[in-house]
Amino acid sequence: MTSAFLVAGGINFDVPGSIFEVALFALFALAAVIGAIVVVSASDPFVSALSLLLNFVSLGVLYLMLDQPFVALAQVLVYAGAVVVLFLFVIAYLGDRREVFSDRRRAKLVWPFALLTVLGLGGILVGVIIGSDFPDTVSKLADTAAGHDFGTPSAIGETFLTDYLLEFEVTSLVLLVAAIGGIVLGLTGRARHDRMRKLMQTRSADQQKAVHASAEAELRRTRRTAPTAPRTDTAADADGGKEPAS
Amino acid sequence: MTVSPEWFVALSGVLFAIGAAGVLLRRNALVVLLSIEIMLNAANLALVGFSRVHGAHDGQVFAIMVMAIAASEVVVGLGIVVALSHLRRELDTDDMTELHG
Amino acid sequence: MGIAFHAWLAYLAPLAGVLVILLGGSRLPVRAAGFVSVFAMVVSFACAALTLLKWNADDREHAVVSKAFTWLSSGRFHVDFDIYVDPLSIWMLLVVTGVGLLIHIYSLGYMAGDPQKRRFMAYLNLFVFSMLTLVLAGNLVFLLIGWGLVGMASYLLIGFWHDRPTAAAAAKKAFIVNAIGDVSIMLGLFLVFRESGELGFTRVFAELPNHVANNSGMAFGICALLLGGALAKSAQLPLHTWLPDAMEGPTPVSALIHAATMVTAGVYAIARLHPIFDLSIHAQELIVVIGGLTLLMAGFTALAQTDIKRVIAYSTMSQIGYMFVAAGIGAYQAAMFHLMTHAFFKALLFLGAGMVIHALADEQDIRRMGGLKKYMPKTYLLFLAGSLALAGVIPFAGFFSKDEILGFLLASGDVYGGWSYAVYGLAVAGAILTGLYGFRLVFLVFHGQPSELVEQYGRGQVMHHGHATNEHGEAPKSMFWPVAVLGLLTLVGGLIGIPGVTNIPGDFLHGAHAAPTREALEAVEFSTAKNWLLALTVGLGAAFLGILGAWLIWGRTTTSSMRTRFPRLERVFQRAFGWDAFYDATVARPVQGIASTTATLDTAATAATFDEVEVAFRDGSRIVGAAQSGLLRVYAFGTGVAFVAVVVAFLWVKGS
Repeated sequence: MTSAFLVAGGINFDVPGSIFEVALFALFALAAVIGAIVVVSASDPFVSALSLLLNFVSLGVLYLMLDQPFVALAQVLVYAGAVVVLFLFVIAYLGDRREVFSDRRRAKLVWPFALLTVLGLGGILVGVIIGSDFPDTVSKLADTAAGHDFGTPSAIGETFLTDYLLEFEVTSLVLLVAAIGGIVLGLTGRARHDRMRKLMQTRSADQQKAVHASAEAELRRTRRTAPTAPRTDTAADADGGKEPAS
Repeated sequence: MTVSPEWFVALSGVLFAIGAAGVLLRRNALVVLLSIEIMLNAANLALVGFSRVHGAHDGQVFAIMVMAIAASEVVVGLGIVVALSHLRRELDTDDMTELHG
Repeated sequence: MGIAFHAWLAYLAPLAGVLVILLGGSRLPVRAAGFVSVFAMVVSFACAALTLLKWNADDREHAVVSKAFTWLSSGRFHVDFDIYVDPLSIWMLLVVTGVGLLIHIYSLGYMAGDPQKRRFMAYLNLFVFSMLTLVLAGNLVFLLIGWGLVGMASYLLIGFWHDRPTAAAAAKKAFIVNAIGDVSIMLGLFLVFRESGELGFTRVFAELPNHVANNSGMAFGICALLLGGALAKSAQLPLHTWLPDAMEGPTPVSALIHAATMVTAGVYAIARLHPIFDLSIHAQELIVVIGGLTLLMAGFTALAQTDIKRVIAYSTMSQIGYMFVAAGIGAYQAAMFHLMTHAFFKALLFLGAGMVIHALADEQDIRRMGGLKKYMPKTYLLFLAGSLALAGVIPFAGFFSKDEILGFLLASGDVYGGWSYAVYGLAVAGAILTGLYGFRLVFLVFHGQPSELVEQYGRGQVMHHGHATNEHGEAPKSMFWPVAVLGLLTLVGGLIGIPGVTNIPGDFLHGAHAAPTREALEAVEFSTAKNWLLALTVGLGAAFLGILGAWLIWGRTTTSSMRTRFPRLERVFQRAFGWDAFYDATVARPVQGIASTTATLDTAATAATFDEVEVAFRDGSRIVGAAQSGLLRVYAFGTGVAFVAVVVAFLWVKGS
């Protein structure tokens, strides 16, 4: 009952309980997890995006193992084909912008809380799942009323256009709005640019005080490490008055 | 040893947690968006897994809708990132605090 | 294309006009906006005419109810969005769209140069749409919706020049008085629904007599509440005080809404709901008495007004009084006939007055007019035709319709007994007054020595919006021609209703039992030709008596000689029998007193307590505001923690 795609490719892992099935799952689950970890940890966004591709494709295979060729296909087309490519375009457009871990102090402050949340979240999710009562194996699951049609495009299409018609239409509306939104955001008219810059400046005006203070702290640190630095308080003041983003 | 559906769902939990870690730990706006994609996919995996368990199509239908929404989100999110990149050199989420109280 | 299709199109065309002008906004040139609104009215009127032709061709016996969709559905309670097409609604449809079209065209010229003309044209279309909602409603709910929409459109148009305090006040007054009527008719319709359990007219009319006994207290209650709404909308005693003030609106508004269409909605509602009113003879008597008193009171008041539009407004009240009398005795077709001819000649009078006002740069005081005949001969002739029709002189339209009402009143004596002779007396007295005030206006405005202002006009020195007002002759073409058409209609419109000869209103409105004459009355109708001839003669005599009186008092001199002869009487008339003062003392003052007392108490109490609360909240929000750091990751962290907490809580609940 595993996917017809794999069978058509001459590869038949479809022996219920076979070691191949377990191996298949283990391989792609591992690939998905590794892909995800690299996405999160790589310092180069380019690497992140490419490993996201690995993650997506592995998930696609897992979908196939769940007898859902259509979702698998959509996964590869939409995510791997469109989303990741869009990311790559943007990363290439923006050029080399590696994350700078200069502010280790603030990062240290966040790490423990974040790990706590992630472990709590993951632990609870996995724990709940392990504790639940699931049917034995995927391959032995009984066919339902959907019969042989389960997971085929026509069956899903029928569900979409009958039970979920409203949701379907609303989703298409969301897509339309997103398309328009993308165009509006992409406008680079000079007036719009100036307006946004002005907005940022007025908003950041009240941040300048905080920046000023941090600049002074920076100065003190510089003095400690390099007491001969030819900087004065006046120069630091001038520095602190600048816009933080520039 | 056989592949049980709960393996898939457990995997989705693990992926979700990794994605959440990315959102919490990374400060690059682009990587945050990538991490959100991982979280959405984890949810999708759970939906599809449950759909298989119950033999019903509803989970798949929702998975496909999640994909559509994710695509929309990427378009708008990246649009915002590009617009912001015209204004700042760094895309550091910790610096984007214009909406503070 | 069925009959319903044309009716729907006639109904929705003005709405399309409103939407186009609203959505177009300032992108739409003013000329285009005017064109759009007039075009919508042309479509509407053409479709109304087609509806009439279809009806005649089909020869139906029942009203056509066409449902668009179910508007509201809750359990067993369904409200359909449907229209009800029968001779009565077609009759009204034609009057509203026909007169409406002419007034739209007139407005193009009258409002030229007004910076808000676009908004004005949209409001006019909105009004026609609202009125058609009321006219074509197929059930009680949409009748009520139309009733309310018409009130709103009227409010918007009276207060069109909202920067004038008097206009804003008049709009509020009209709205409040109409709201009283709206509540009344709403309660009445609720009762109808409670008793019959139905909403659609066809079913209500069939079911209600089975549940409400003839002449029972419930029947009277329902009719009285419905009548309350009709009184407010049609400016009858005692809810009439808003109409004279409503003359603050632009003159086309006065012509369209406060003469030809909206104020006749009360008469239409009574005719529409006549199977309900037929259930209570006392309610009918009430209608007759109120109509009779109003026509007399308004007639006297019109004698002493100095504002040209107010005179016509009071005459409108008086004429609607005639319609109420006719509807009350059950001569619905006579009421509807008079409604139509009145729409013609009253719109003519208002628009004629509008031409005068336009020429004299918004001057409305008749004491500053006089002798205009010399400078505005065409306007004079048209205004004269309107006045003759108003007075009821053969062969103008008003003669046939008003004297039909008088004839029915006289004949109804055999059916209803002596009191209807008393009302007949009132009506004849009203007819004399009609001639009197109508020709007072003619003599004071157009005859006599030209006043200083009129002489200036003749020399082309009266300026308006930077142009001399006699630049285009008496009036721009777009203003003159609609009035001329109305003049023609006033001249020949009555000929369709010659009793026993053409008799179109009677035959047409009897179709599908739309608005038939009450059976008892029908039996005596024309049975005594002697009565009929008597009524005609008396009516005509009353009209000539009135005109003669007007000539004797005002025709020979230029001054208002009534002031010198009956000063006290004149004061009473001028103050419209003190109704405004009465309401001011009994309603407005007490309410204002309560309001100012409450306001004082409120301010004191607020100062004492709520300032502290406000300070506490402000300090508190400053502290809480600090949590809103703007740091994305902190927010995400909070969300994650909350999510974990919720899941843990669920597990805990499940485990315990």
